[in-house]
Amino acid sequence: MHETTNPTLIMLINMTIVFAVLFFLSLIIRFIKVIDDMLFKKSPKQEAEVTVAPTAPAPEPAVQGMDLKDKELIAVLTTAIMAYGYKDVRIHSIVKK
Amino acid sequence: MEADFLNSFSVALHSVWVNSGYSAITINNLIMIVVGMVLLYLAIGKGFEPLLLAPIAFGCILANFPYNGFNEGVMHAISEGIKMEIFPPLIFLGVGAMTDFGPLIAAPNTLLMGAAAQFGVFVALYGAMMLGFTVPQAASIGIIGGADGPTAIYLTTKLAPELLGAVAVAAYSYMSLVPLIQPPVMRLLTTKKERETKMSQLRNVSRFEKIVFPIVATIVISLLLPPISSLIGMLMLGNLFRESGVTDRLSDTAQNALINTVTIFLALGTGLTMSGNDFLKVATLEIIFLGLVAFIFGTAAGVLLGKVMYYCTGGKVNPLIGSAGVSAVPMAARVSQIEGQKANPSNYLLMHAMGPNVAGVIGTAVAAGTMLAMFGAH
Repeated sequence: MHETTNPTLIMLINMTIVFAVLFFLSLIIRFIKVIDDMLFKKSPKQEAEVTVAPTAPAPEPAVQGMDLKDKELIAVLTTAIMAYGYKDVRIHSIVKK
Repeated sequence: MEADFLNSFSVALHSVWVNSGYSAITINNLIMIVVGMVLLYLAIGKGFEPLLLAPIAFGCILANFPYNGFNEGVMHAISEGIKMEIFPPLIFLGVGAMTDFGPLIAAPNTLLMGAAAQFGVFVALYGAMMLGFTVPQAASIGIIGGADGPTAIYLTTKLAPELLGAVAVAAYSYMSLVPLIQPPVMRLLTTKKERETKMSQLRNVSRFEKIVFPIVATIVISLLLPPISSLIGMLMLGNLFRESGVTDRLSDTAQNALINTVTIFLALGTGLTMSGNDFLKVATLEIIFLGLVAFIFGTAAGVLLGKVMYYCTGGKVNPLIGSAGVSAVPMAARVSQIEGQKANPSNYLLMHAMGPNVAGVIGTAVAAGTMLAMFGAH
């Protein structure tokens, strides 16, 4: 065990190690992505299709037999979910407790 | 015969009284029982991290009963579970099973925000050493800034077990106060234009990446910092249970029954360390103050690195997500979301903030590992 008692030195050494480890981990994550693309042969065009697909028209929620408040609720929920990036959302049912 | 009966009766009563806690209770015990009740009020009445603070508070009350016999039986076993570092890694197993590393994998740069937020740990360490704490004690106090209860308990048990009660109470109390502590710091260090920044949608992360990441991360970090291999290993094992798709039962157990059971034992055991003689010291107040300093500086450092990334990327990164590097998952990410929406109601930062938020968990563990490597006994 190295007896370091200078607090500034301790701070600098530890922060450097933490940054270095996490930076190295970020490089590993990028490397995993490269391996993934190689193994599953994803082309940039396929990636673009996945991530930049034209937004599908908002699907019609199941509105039969529902009153206006439920229809509004479905619209709000659908919009919120799609705002998080999920496409082609269809709400099948809402359970009220 | 009557005299014999009365004599025996009075001797018995005297014996009961002498052996009772009432005859031996001290003012320190009474104060700590009141402290325990205050913590219970905060947990139950105000909702401050109730799952942890309630058993800690109750343990604190139990610990201050004289002659409680907790040096054997289930209470002793629970205390030993903490001393033997059994509970924090098991908690991390559940945390890993509940964590989605997708946002982190989609934006690996956010790992740097998790690293920056650890600055608060070392500022508090610096402050603690200035106040006269030893280096291992200062390290245990500093880790409060990581906003990670199991890591704080794990490190403190190894380096400064006499401070466990104060460190745990400070860590969990401040974690619940994140929505109060962080926003003023975030607003002070960012402009409205920066806070309004909308970030582009994160890329899809494949199943392959989500399975390989925990395996590789475990190998890389554990080989570099063996003292935290149990924490990192359990965190990533839990995550592997979640992501593999073939261990759903294990994932379900880890994130429900197991983590709930271990939380009870860990929190109760932490409370049992809070006896009056150990807790009622000036050092406790200093620890509580330094914990606040750690949180503030950790938030500030994360936001400042977020600003650097904002300018380096030409305005594509919202600096607010940097504050989520303080790993109070998911509270800190929610704070980023709320502050972002206050500036721009159409801004949805939650998933982007989850990247630095879970990076902070790894960052705190790495910070603990470096301090263990430097100051711990081999």
